[in-house]
Amino acid sequence: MNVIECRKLSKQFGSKTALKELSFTVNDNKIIGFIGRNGAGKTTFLKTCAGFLKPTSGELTLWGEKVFDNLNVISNITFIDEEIQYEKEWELGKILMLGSLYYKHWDHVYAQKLLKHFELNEKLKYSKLSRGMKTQFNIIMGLASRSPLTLMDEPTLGLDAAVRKEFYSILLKDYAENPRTILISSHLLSELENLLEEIVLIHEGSAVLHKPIEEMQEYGIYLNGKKEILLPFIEKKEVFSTEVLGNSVIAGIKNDLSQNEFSYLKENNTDISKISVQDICIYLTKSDRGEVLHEIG
Amino acid sequence: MRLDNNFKRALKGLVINKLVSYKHTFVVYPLIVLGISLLGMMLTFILNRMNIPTGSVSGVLSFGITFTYIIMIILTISSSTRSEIKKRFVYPINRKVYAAGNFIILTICSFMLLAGMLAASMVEMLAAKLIAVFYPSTILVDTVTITSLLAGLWVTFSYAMLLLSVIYLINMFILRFKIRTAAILIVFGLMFIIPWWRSFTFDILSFFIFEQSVIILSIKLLLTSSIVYWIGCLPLKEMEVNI
Amino acid sequence: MMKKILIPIILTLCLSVVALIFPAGQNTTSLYKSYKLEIDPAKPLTLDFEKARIRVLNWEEFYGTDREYVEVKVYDYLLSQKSDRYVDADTAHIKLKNFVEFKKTSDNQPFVYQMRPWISLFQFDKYKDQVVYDELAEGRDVEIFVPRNIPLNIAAEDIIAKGCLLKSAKSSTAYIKRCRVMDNFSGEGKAVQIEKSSVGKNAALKYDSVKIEAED
Repeated sequence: MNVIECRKLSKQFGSKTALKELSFTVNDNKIIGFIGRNGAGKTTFLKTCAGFLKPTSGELTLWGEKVFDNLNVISNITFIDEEIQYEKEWELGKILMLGSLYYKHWDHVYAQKLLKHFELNEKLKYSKLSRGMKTQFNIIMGLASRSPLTLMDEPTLGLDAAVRKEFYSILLKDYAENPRTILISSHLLSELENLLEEIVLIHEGSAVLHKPIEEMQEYGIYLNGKKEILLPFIEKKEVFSTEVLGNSVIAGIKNDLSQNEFSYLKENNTDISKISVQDICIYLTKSDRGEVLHEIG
Repeated sequence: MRLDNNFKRALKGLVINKLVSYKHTFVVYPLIVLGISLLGMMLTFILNRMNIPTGSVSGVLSFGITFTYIIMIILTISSSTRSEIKKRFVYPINRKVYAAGNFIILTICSFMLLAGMLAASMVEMLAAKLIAVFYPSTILVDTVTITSLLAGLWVTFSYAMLLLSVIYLINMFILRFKIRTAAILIVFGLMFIIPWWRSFTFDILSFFIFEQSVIILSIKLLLTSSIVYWIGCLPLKEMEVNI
Repeated sequence: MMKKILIPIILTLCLSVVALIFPAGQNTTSLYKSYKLEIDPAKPLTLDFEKARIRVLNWEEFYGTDREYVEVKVYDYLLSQKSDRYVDADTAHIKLKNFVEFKKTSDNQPFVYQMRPWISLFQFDKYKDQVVYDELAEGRDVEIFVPRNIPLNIAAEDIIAKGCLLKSAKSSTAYIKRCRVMDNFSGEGKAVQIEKSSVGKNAALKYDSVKIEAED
């Protein structure tokens, strides 16, 4: 079943276009990475999905219904990001009680378990939390709400590596026990890679690609070999990067080689290795800034 | 109108959320008013014993009205700010729930606060009676009847609702259409130099202030409040929440 | 949750019952003796309160609408005995006797405390008496409400007159505000202050000190 259906979705803030004819579909019970550079439109999309923003044009439906101001849809969504503010002067335990009032799938036992796990005292006031602790608490709210669609915008901001790792394992375990659709936007793709089932790559408000993570992992390859062999070879390929080092070249290309091409490269002593998903995303969303940096260098 | 479960849950969540946030209001403010009134009473008593003439002391109920209205105006303004709206929409609610919930909260808060003042006035009465017991020259002028207490509570509450609805309306329009609302308010203000506008405004006020029936007055006030509040919610309709 | 809500409600109810039935010393519903007097609005009205400090207001000034009778409110606890009163139908002459015999005010000055109801009830005639603060404003012993357009002859110790039509005034001091001082007005005493009032022709102001501020 389609959870999110996005057709030519555009969102304009004055003269600035945040989303430009964004189209993609997300099925239920998946963890999806929503990846893009700063200002790509990730947060705008997630907020539109959460019903906070109204599309300028195009259509966004969740479970087949429009989302803006639609309580039937909103009731099934949880959105968390680092700017979210719960009642500042409330104790954490009380805020969790609120969760049980607002969210129909709320798991209070699980929320308290997580609170204990992150060593957050339920008598502690929200305003007294450090940035990292706030992020942990927001994560608890996001997970314990058990909403059929959970939107997490940079959920690990402010967390140290150890806590981030813990979060990933908690998320995975909870997801395994309670499957639902979780959309995570993050710039730490390398850490998330093992968690995600699909990736939606967004650039300047449009979807660049939407693929299962396995496909992404096979999407690109590095070729490292002699210049006279590789340069003519990559001429007809989709090239992500080339680096010439004396007589050698390292070229990143899309992995659409035929068996014959593989054999040809092997015969000519070319090393072949996979491009990481993170690098693929960087290459696919490369802007002119790279060239400017190159010139400065 | 059948309310679905999502609406009921969201509304219940919002109302309880805000009521718990304001719970100290119902106790603390009546106690402050009571404290000030009792202090005034004691001071008057002491000055009286010293043969120093004093003015009249403002009782809990008369002082409490002003206090309640000020507190409720602050609550109303604070409940229609961008940051407040942001805070509420963290949870799964829509604009209809927000509008309805806010109205319910203003209603409950006003009533509870005034009821708190009424309770405080009972303590005031008891204190005055105690003075009368220990100082026989006390003359306790007590014109208050249970009927007038209850009728007064209801009328004061009804006026509070109208006042708060008007403030909510102005605030919401300022929030959404700052310059246009300010311009309209200035134009309305300047129009007071036109006699027919003045008399029109007076006619509107007369509609309420010359009413002699408590029931009809409260119906007029509460109906007008509902309409004014509903108009105040119009800017919410298409408003985006920039969390 | 319910317990938390019920406890203060029950406490309040108990407290209210105690407050309402608790016996107090001198419990009164008014500090005044109030006298409502029918008069002939076509004739001038003489208010004779020689030894009292009085305030005269027109009905409209205080209640918003005019009325065709006179109300005299006398600070009750200052009366040494019950007031006697009469209205002379011919001249609409009002006199309250004996009210000037004040009690001693040294040791026995009473402590007066008034329970005040909701101020919002002021607009209802049936509750107005409960809402009006039961004290004589501006330090007066007697307060008199009169119809707006009836000429007044006033005699008192001190006079404050607001919004009245004045034919004559005799008092030690007089403060006249928003009044119409009629042609040939006769006033005598130590001092008079007239504010925002019109003063008619040939007004005789036989006072040691006369202070007149401009009319509105």
